Amino acid sequence: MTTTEHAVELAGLRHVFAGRGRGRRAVRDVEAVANVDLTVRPGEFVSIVGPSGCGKSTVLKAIAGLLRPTAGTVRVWGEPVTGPRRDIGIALQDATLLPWRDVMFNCLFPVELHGKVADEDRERVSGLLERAGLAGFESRRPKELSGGMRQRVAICRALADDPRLLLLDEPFGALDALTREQMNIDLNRVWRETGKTAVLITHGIEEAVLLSTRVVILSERPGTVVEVVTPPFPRERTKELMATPEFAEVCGRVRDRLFAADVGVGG
Amino acid sequence: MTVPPARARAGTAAGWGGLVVVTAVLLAAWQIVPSGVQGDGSSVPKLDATLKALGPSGEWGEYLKALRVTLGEAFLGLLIGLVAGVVLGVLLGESKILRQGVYPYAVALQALPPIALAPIFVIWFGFGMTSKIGLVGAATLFPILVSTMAGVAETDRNRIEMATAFGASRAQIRMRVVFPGLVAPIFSGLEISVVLSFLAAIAGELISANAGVGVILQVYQRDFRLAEEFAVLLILVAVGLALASLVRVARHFVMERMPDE
Repeated sequence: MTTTEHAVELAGLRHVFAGRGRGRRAVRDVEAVANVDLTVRPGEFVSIVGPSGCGKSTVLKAIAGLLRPTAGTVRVWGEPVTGPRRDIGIALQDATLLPWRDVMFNCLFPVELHGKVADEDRERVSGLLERAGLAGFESRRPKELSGGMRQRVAICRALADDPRLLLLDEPFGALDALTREQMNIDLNRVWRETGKTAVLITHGIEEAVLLSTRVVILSERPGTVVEVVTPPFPRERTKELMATPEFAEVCGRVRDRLFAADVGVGG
Repeated sequence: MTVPPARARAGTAAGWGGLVVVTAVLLAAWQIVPSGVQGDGSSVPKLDATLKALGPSGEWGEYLKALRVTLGEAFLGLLIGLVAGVVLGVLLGESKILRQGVYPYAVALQALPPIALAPIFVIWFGFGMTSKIGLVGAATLFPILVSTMAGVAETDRNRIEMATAFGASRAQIRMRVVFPGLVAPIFSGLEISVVLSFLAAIAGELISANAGVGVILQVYQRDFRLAEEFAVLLILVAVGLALASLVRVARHFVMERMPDE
């Protein structure tokens, strides 16, 4: 452990997806992430926004230990990442629940992987489900749930093994605007009440500003950090906040930087 | 999982009305046409003669004895085909080298109609049930093998990535993500194979056997007792439909009550 322990520490992160084949049908090398430096302090909620294909998900996968970056270092709680870690919970755009398991057992999946499921695990999951508005749905199968409910289950699953770091890759990307807003408010509450550190990948500007203590803006591919915006709001975020001029102002700033990043590289 | 929406909709659209009308027309034609054509109804038995052969005065002792033999062969053969198909399907799904090496042989075996294999199986395993069981096993293996193999190979990448992200080992992914996902494809294969099992057992009996549905069909044919022959065919239709729905019910039961682990 280092003395100044960051939740996440990215230094000079670069990743190139190797091409395949030769001649006309060849797939060229793609540099997804050029040079990303980023630290996330314990208890923060950091969103990473950027144009499509700027390597946002690549950054998240590097933190999750799902891919080995071409260059640079990734540290989580001061330790170099060599593979998936037990103290990381992850939720992806697709809820990816296992259809043959009910809600409770879907949530217990990560717990099972690391040992026997204890009563306290069940209690913790029950508490999470209750907080996510899923009390009473413990023994339902995924096909009986709406898209929004499935995503809530996926987030509860991410938190089930009591991880210190929560990674979210556009978990609400496929939901309608109204459901998404409600989920954001709920996620903010879960984050406050559990005291986790969270990293969210999104292309929703309002979503990023609403949820985050810091918003990291990436450039077009290959991604680098162009700016970090700090929304000056208390940790508790509400629907009312979204209607304020301050909120609109911060969103506008993020939007301007995003478009600048977009045009800057293309032109 | 559930019935595919397209099939469910087609079933609703057809409804029962059309089926009732067509059945009535068929039954009427069955009664009238044979007498019109041949008078004595010797080569196509009239409806009432067939119904009589299906009634209490029919040879139910013979029918049931034959059915017991045939169903026994079909069941035991299907069991062999199921176990071998699932085991091979998992192996071929997991290993690319095995798939490249063994799958072409499985396809080649499948190209042989079971009835063409029957004489060899009789030479190898005798006139009794064993040769028919072997034949059924060979015929039912392929659909189960193919659907199991596809199930392994087409496991949702997202599921595997999700499990990997939570730190699952390869063995854990296999036991907790891949294998439970095979129940649905195995049942799809089983739905095809259960029909094939019946077909292969009777095909084998028609070639050479000492008991079974294939045998009594030949006996009735030889004795020109066509009403009984038609009665047996109708029983076969009923049994075939019952077996297919049995598999569907079993599938539903297993999918709904699968233990949550």
